[in-house]
Amino acid sequence: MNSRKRKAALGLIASALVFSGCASGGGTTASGGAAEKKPDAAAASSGGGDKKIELRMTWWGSQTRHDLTTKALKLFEQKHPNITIKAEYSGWDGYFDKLSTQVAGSNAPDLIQMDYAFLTEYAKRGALLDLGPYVQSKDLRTEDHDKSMIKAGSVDNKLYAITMGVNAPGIIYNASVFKELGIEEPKENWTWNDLADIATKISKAKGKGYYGMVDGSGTTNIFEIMVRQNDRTLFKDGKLGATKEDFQQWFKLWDDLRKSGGATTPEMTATMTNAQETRPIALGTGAMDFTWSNQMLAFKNAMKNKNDELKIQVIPHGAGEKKSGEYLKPSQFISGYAKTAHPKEVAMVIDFLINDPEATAILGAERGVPVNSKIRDQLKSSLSDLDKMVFGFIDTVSKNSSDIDPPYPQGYAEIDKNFKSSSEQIAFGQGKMDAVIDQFMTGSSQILSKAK
Amino acid sequence: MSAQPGTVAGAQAVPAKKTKVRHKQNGAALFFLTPWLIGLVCLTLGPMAASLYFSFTDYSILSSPRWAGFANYVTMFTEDKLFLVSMKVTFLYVFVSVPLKLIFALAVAMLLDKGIRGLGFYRTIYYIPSLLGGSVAISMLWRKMLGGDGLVNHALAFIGIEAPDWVGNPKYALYSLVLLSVWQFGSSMIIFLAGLKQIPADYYEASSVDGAGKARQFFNITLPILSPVIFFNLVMQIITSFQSFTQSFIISNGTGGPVNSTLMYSLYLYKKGFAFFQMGYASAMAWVLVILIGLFTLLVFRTSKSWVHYEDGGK
Amino acid sequence: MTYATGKTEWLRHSFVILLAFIMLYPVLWMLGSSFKPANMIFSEVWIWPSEWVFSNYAKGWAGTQGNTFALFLKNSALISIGAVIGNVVSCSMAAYAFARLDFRFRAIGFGLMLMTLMLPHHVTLIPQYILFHKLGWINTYYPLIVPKWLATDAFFVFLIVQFIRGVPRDLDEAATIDGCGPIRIYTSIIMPLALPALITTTIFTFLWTWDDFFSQLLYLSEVSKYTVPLGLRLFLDSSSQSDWGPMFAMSVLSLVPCFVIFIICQKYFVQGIATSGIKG
Repeated sequence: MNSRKRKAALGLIASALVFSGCASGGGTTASGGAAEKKPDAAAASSGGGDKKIELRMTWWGSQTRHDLTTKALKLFEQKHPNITIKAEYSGWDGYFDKLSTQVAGSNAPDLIQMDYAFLTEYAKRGALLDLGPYVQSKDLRTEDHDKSMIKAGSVDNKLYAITMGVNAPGIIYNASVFKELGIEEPKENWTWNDLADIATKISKAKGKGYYGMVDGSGTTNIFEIMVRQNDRTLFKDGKLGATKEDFQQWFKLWDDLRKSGGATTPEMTATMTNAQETRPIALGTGAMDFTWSNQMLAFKNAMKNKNDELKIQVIPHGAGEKKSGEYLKPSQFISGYAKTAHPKEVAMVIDFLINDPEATAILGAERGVPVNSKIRDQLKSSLSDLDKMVFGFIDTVSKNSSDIDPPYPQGYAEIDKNFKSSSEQIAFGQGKMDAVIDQFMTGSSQILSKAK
Repeated sequence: MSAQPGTVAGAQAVPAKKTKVRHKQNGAALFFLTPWLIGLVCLTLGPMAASLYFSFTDYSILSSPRWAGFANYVTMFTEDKLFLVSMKVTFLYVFVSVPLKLIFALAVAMLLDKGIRGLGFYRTIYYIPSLLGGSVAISMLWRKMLGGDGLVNHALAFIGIEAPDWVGNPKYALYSLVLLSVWQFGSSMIIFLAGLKQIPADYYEASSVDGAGKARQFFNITLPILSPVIFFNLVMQIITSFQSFTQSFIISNGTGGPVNSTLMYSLYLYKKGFAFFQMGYASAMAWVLVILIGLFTLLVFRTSKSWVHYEDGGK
Repeated sequence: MTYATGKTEWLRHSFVILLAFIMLYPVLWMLGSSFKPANMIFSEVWIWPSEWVFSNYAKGWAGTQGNTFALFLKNSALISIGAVIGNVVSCSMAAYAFARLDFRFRAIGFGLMLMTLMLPHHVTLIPQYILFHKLGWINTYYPLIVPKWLATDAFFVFLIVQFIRGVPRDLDEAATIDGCGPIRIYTSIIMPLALPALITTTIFTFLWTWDDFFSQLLYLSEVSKYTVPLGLRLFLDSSSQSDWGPMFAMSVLSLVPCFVIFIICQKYFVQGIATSGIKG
């Protein structure tokens, strides 16, 4: 039924495209994606195991990642002479725009580096390969993977994505500034009140133009941690799980911190980007910021003052927190394309990149801490000081953390955007806090109900 | 405005009737239009028709579209508050930036068209901002220049003015976009310059002999002969400004912030389509924009008869 | 023509120079940044590097996996030149028909052409991609060049129309009486007189194609086919380490061909038309 509808719809588009008659040389079949596979690939899959197989893999990243990943893929090709992997990598800009267009054209690469925020959209709409069968056939081994990461890569109880690196949220701070001011560094058991006190103290001591903490009120991921500390989840059964009290508590915290001068001004916050180079801590105008653990190296390289020492501490605890809010999160996934002609080989490549000792030795911790615990132990001997700190931090978090909630529902991207603009509305004093929260909550419910 | 360029013999006074007598040139036209026709039919109309169809569906890019009737159009005008916000932002941007940019480009083009030493050098320099277009470097630079602690405010502080953060403040952010657009006046300037080049020097010489002043030369010769080019720039600026995307995308880092103050229509449309997976809705937004731009363009075309002067006799 | 003298001239010159500085600033800033270590690019206020780094250029030029920046430059040049020739030929042909020939459906055709400009390209991207995919053109340069040969850039058709309409009709009428057909009139009268428009088309097509990021990203998948805009963004990631230094270094370098084209073209601009003899 579903597929018939699909065929009909695709036929409609196809005929819209070619109604002029000259768009396509051969007769356009209305059978959609199945007919779209490359002829050589189709021939290979029908033959025996010795036939040449060509896979395409895409990822985003910067130079280091391109170098390491292509090196690991070369190694795979050496070990499997009948399989070649075409690397189609790019920077971050436009990566997902291109990917969704390729999916629309039934022409996506066989192996896809995937982001947590988009996993549900792609999985629910049938763009990703169900990896379950290949886990069962042992082509893809996951026994040594953290269970919570398997959960994080599953949508509707089907495994669509394997974690390439484990991440944890934390507060990055400039330890040298703490030392300079004689302020005690944050401890593992610190609370939101401690954060506020420290931030205000630093701002006062350093004077105008320097801020203790970056205003994080627009960051949905960190708000989620506070919601979890209150023993709720950001989303529950496809609805908003956070209550009005959660929002009030959150925005009040930041409002107070802005008033006390501890957090960056709304204007400053609005002009920051995700690039570490634009954050106050790198520019030497701030002492603390939110970060993901795999970004420590980027921060370190972006520091204006190279000699400053950077450290990371857990997200502050709630005053009477009901459970630990922190969780481990995949920094990136790797997925297969639902319409790949060679699903088994796709699973083999994934397995190789995640579990093979040689491959993981090449890839190192560039995408975050490896998900396979054996590989993690194996890597520990060869780590840089900074990586050691990051591995140690992940250990700390994983001891106290609670499991990650299921991947965000469809519509998350839009809700995330609205959360940010709501936080700006409050920061710039456009509307009463309660009214803004109400507006955000009804808006989100609307988005979630439509997204189904 | 007088279409008679002063004392210059009026080449423009070709009687319109003359053309009526001529035979239709269908065959020749077909020859010259063949590439365009192939492009239109094969590459352009198909995708346009597809997007029109999408606008009546719930197309998400990743899965196939389902018919939704007018739902997208209804939602747009009844539920979606950001749609209205983006409409407001865009209108404000178009009405402020288009005239500013065109007047500035024309003024500089005329300045350069007169004999100035190193003309080519300046022309090249002035084109630089347009050359950099929507590059990553520009967004970084713009923040650095107009940010709270940026170069512009340092300069203002030097003369004792304490200025706000132009990019980070929702009250001013859109105007920093307008400024960016005016700063990239190079393309319009080049087109004006090309137009000025078409004016034969002897027109000016003849009118100088007759004792016409600069102002009179400008209104009687420059403006009328340049009017087709001014008209072109005006129409194109309206069309492209309504669709302006890159600037707000790079300056706001793709968010349209702060507080949606730079959420241009096209940026919102893009986010709906590609970031929020509502390509059906985005397509509907696109067709609403087509109607809107179409109306404005038609308006400008209608008024053009009274102020645009063609050397070919207005045929 | 009279030249302004004295005070007004001085004023004009200082205005022109001041403006030039404001326009030049970003390039100077990019140039300065290309010699800075990554951590100083955003934190340092002044253009002049306090610490000079030359390795940015070497690192940027090396590109990725044996695909050097020279290759990206070559690919971009190929696409841009293909696009320029296509646009100049096809758009001027269409423009001549719209501006000078009298035929059925002229008004409708012209309106349709303008309408193609009004639809935001974000919503036609996907149908276009599907179309080119069906033609087997993905990962080739055809989707980037062929449309230019089919006058799909209505901007330039409209531009050239406006310029042709600035050419007095007497000229082609005289030629018709002399027995010239439309093709002769197009090649020997209209095109030479519309030269400023053709030069403008050349400049814009080259630069816009050179800068165009998204369609090149969309249609090219193999890194060895990548172009300059794709090469530049290969250095940038959102969450991990970005190599800003090499990015700026190569941005500066990729401006050089633009300048060359611009300077060559504008020479024709200056000489191009000595219309005096023709008009009147």
